[in-house]
Amino acid sequence: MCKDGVDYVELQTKLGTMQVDEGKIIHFPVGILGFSDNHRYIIVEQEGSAFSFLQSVDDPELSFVVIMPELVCCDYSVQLSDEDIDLLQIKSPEDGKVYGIVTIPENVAEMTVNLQAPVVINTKERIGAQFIIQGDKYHTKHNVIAEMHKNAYLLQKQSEAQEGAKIQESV
Amino acid sequence: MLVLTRKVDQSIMIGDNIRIVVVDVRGDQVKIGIDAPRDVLVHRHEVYEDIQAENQRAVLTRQVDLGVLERTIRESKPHNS
Repeated sequence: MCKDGVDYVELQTKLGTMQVDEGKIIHFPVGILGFSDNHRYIIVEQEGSAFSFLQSVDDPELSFVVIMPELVCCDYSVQLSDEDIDLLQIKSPEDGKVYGIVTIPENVAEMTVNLQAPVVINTKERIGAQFIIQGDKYHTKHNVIAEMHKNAYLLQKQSEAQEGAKIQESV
Repeated sequence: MLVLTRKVDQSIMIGDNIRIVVVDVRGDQVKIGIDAPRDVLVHRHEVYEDIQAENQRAVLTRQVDLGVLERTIRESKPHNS
């Protein structure tokens, strides 16, 4: 499908019908662990939200919620090996964007983020991969809310909300 | 399963591109070196299984409103966590 000179792929996803700009598709040469048949994804951001969707283009039924790990754990950093950097074709650190996959149970308040196996995307070349961080500092189930309470992000959001409430009161 | 006996510094080829070397043996621990193309994932089996299982759990099975996630965080109390 082509609209205004841009090629689109139409997807019927859990998030609704999506028109995906082909130029925004991120190629995962290896795939997400356990989903090696899916090589094309897009990031669907929502304005004002810390969360985004990682949506498979190959399988419209496959979508994840992701979050930038530094919002959950402020000293979070990923050290990539030379092989990893090669795979992603990263030329400078600014090209890399890191996401943590969020697991959302029935009780949303118990959502966890996998900080042991982040997804790293070269935003310039649109190449992505999931890496496993060695060592035992991070695991697959960090409670998002508990971690955020240790973090300035939440304090900031709360003060913004209070600010909003004050403005509403004064109107 | 194919079982081979190797000594320290001896190796095994898997296909044309993957080489497994026995680096060191101490007691019941074996140190293994792996040369593999960069698109071949190499992980400890238990870690691999753990990540794979977590990925499976993370797949959305219902529609999720990101706004609800944001609100849940905003309205949470530190002592609940």
